[in-house]
Amino acid sequence: MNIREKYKKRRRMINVPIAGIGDIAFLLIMFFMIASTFVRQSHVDLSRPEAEELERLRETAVHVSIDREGRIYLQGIEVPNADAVEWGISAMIQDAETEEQRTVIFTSDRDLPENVFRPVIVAITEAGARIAAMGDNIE
Amino acid sequence: MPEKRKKNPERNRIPTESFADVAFLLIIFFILVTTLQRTDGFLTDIPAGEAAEEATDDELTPTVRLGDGGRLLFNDEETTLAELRQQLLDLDLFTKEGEERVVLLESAGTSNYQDYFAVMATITNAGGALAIVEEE
Repeated sequence: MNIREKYKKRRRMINVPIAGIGDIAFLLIMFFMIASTFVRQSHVDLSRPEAEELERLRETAVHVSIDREGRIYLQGIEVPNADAVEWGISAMIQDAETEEQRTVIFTSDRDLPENVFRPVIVAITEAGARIAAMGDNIE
Repeated sequence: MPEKRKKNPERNRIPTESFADVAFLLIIFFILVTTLQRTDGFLTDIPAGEAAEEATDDELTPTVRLGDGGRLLFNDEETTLAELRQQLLDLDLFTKEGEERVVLLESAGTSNYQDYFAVMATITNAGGALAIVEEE
């Protein structure tokens, strides 16, 4: 047997098992679909405020935000005023047992005047929630 | 007699070879379009109702005032955000408890959320418990 024949024989023996790759890929997709939490506020148009030494906040169940037009959103749904925020949060956290369960992530557009955002902050407080004010860290 | 069609196992087979390619394309698509959301901020427990009234009663309570155009006053003396941070750290609020940690935040009503947020973050990071003073 010459060298060429020997080489041909070896090439035929290489066989990469790829049958399971499809299963692995679908398992990866399923994992990411189950492990992902969708951003509820993605449609709210605002510029976040900035400050130094902000800490990483843990994701909580309740979100309140105010967009650059001054529209108030509770859980990503527009509400008419701060009173609606207070009633909504009161209802949502009435069975809260831990500090984390009564934490509300709040954010507002950075340029909004005080008469727009302050009633909402007060409403969250009056509802008995703890505020996690969200912003961007100044590096 | 019509000729009986021979069963061909290859004809009834669902072609699954390309499933892996489709799945990996989906993964690549989601990796490319995903933007990870960072949630930075600060936690504050603002006293409300009676607790807020009690907190705002005391004249000795440290008070931060936000004036027009981001003007900042600490106990009626003009200051900057960096100075305010140091002044609050000097009060050693981290070692105190309850009402002794309260810092009042008053505002002229004209400041924007950026200024308000920066002051709230400074008070919280210095160990203070924020209390918002409401106008009558």
